[in-house]
Amino acid sequence: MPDTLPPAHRAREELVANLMAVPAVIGLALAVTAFVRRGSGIDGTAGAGLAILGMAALAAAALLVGRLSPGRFRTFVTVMILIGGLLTLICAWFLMQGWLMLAVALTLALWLIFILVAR
Amino acid sequence: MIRILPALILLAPAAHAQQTEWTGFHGDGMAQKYSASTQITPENVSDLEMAWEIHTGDVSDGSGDIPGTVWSATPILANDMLYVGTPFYRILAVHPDTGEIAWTYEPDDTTLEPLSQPELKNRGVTYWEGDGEGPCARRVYIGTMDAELHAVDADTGALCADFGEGGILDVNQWNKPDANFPLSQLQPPTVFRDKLLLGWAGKDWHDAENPLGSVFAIDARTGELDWTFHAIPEDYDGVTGTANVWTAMSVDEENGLAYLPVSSPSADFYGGTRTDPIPLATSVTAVNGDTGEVVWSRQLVDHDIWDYDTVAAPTLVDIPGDGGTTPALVQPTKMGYAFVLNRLTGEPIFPIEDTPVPASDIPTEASAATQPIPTLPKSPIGDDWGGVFGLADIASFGYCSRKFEELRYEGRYTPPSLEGSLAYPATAGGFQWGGGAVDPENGILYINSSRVAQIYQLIERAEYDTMTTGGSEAEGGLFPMTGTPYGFSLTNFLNPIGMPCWKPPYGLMSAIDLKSGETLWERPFGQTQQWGFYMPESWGSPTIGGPVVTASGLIFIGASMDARVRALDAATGDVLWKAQVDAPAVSIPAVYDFKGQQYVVFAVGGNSIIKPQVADQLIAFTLPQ
Repeated sequence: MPDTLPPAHRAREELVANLMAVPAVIGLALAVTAFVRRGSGIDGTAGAGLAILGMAALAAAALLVGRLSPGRFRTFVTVMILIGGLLTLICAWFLMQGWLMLAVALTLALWLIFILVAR
Repeated sequence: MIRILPALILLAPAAHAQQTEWTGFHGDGMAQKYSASTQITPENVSDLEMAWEIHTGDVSDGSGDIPGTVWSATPILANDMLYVGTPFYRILAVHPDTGEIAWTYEPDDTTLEPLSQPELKNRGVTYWEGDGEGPCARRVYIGTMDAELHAVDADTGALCADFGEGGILDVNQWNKPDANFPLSQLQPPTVFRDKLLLGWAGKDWHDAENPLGSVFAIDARTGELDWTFHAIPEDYDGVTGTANVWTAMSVDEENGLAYLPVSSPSADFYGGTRTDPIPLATSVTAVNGDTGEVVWSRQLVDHDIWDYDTVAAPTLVDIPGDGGTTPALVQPTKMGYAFVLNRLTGEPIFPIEDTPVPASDIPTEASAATQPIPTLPKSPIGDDWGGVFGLADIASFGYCSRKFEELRYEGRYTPPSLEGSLAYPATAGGFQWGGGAVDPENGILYINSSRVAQIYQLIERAEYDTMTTGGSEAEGGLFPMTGTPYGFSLTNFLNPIGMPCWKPPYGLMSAIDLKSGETLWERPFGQTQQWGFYMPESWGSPTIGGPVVTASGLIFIGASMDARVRALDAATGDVLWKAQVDAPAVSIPAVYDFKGQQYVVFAVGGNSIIKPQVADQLIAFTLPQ
């Protein structure tokens, strides 16, 4: 499908998507820290590993989605961000990682803005 | 019930000192785990902050050459120094306010091998001081798995040459010559005046024939044997064994008595090879501390075939009442019963009823027709396992229900069977070795308990011989019980994804009024963790370790699976403060005052029974100065 959006609109989409990646990357750092830091309560656990995977996937998807032209694949990635974000939020909740939950929540808030901008 | 000597004294004066030191495993010899310190209160405990921490370096997860470690030391505050032993049998002397290490004792030839236990264990050190001054007037002792007891000078860490041979006593000299394990010294000795009382730990569940249970009283200065307590008649040698004292003891120096929590005899889950009564097994037994003579004994499980070792030192307390005080002891058990007895006579303060229990269906077994069950206090873990946990059943497509249908279960004391029996409570407790803490001012007992269901299955010898022995108390496994017609299988009753098939809560904290026997409050305690995920607080956590109660109305405790240490409001059980530590703090904390500041110190070591996470952290908390 040809990209017919005006450049300014694309730039806004990409900016919001990049902003979405910021809390996801911060969340990734938090998850890695919790995985490796002795005494975090979840160090070395499968749950913390899952949080790392979830945040890494969110960050990668956020960076990717802003660079995609409208179409089925971008819709798919956008929906996957929502699903992945919700699952990572649940994961962080059961891991009792408040800052990680906040990072995911911010990512999802920016996802919502991305949806509004991309309409 | 054996009564060798009649009761002489019914009332005893309140014997609790205003303790702000922490000179023994339980704070003092009476196992009260009570601190008179009042600086930290329910109002300011939320301000607690870390004062210092050290890492001993003595830790292993078992993945290398060194076996895994289990560290359950109570730090000892005495002689203006904090002493702690490690699973590598080292002693650290630490400045109580800064955590700076003053000296370290390292044994020359330490055997870091799992000779009697699957893991290297240590529950700390013992401190003793005699009259006079000079080298070794004050001593610190540490035991090893290969049955040595080391005595060092409390000021310098140098071996005390007049003790044993060059400062080391070979406790194994009193073992039977062909014993299948050494008399491991994992629990620090109990001090009775100028004597040390030594129990020992052995290899559980492996053989029917073992060393016969004993306690040795030695001279604290020289290590010379003073008296020996025997739990099993000598003519049983070669047939059974253990009924040892592997946990801590308590002492009433004023009345000259020592209290021995005696474990079960071997084989642990089959009694057909030891059908004659062994009245001192699985008992609490009072002995004359000077002579070792039995004063009274009360068997808590008749013909024990569940490994219901008497698990903790009885807590001694003078229960206040209108007509004076009653000299009592509280004996926690793996069954989740707390037996409250007159400690001078052994007579129950609350009635104990001989209650009919299910009979064994093993033809050569001779299970007891009744078991003694106290009417009060009410067991926090209930009288029934409570049924299948629906969530675990759904998550496993009905596995829990199907498995339960295959098992024999007729309530408490259902005997081990060939088809497999649901054991609730099981060998994991109920109560564990940490025991309870008591406030002697008001006679309230605070105690943590676990609700754990396991599967006990006997396996015909011919079939067992085709299997591979192995496993642990933590994960379950196969145990040979050599010398009996049966091997033994222990399984935690979990679904295939590791969820307990029994209903939560899995751990509780209770407050019991010893004056009335009534439970004042009972709360789920701790949080269960799986793969790092925390389960709801209402599920609680199994616990290993014990609480401390302070005069200001706080309970300090680690013990839970979630690797947190907590302060609870003694009046309500509310959690007022918690901190994350490196692993489950499977120990009893020390609470002391030093230079006008109150400290709470936890040894954080982990124990694979509740979670495969180990650490070597000693961490102190205090209020901001």
